[in-house]
Amino acid sequence: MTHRAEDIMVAVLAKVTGLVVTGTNVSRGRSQPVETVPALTLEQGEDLIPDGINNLAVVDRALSIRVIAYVKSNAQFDTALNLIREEVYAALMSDRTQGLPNIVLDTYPMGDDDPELSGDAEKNIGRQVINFEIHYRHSLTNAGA
Amino acid sequence: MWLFFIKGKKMSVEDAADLASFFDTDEHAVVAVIESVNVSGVFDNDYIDALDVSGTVPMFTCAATDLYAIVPAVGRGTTAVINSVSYIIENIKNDGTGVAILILSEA
Repeated sequence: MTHRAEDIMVAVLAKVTGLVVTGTNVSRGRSQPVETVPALTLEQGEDLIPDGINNLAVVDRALSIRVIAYVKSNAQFDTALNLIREEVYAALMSDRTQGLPNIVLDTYPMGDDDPELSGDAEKNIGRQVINFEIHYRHSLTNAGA
Repeated sequence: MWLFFIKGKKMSVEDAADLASFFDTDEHAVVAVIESVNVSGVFDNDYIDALDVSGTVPMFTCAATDLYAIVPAVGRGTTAVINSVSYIIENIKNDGTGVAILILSEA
């Protein structure tokens, strides 16, 4: 049995893989630079218990997820990032349980960071972080159940 | 590489013949085709990691006199073809000793 956060990360990774712009250029927890763009990387963030423990049966958590979009182009870089943001938003908000209705309570868009631009490489590189928070529930005695 | 610093002043130690030998295509130099004119210089395309994306930094170093004499209209936006790849000149850095460094992006 895995921690339910792992189930959610796997589900979210599947949801953002195969989008029109970024296709299969999707990775999770990447520590090395991205080689093929446009691309997405998925990062797990804090996994809080916002309301504390007030139920002896279950724990409700809020898992932060960062989807990071990368583009390399001499065209308008934020236009390319906006296309990706639209697709990622639709992918994660069309089913707010992420296909895990027995685990996920809801998915909340948490806003996106400023788009970043670098002109240091052979083409302009753009990056933007897309933030979500996924609320889920697990047993008080077992985070995998 | 190109300079001596004496009492805080930057001095060139190369004359035109020295620069010609530096940018000799029989040595390390290659030919860039700029506005249909051949200019000899050294092409670098080092690896870079910018915003967590792999890339390269294309630049072309040549004698400034050659560049401006042969291609007087060269400037930002001019196309340069090097090793069969088209680049756009994004910036020209003249180092004050007769050497020009063209900062490039892929077209």
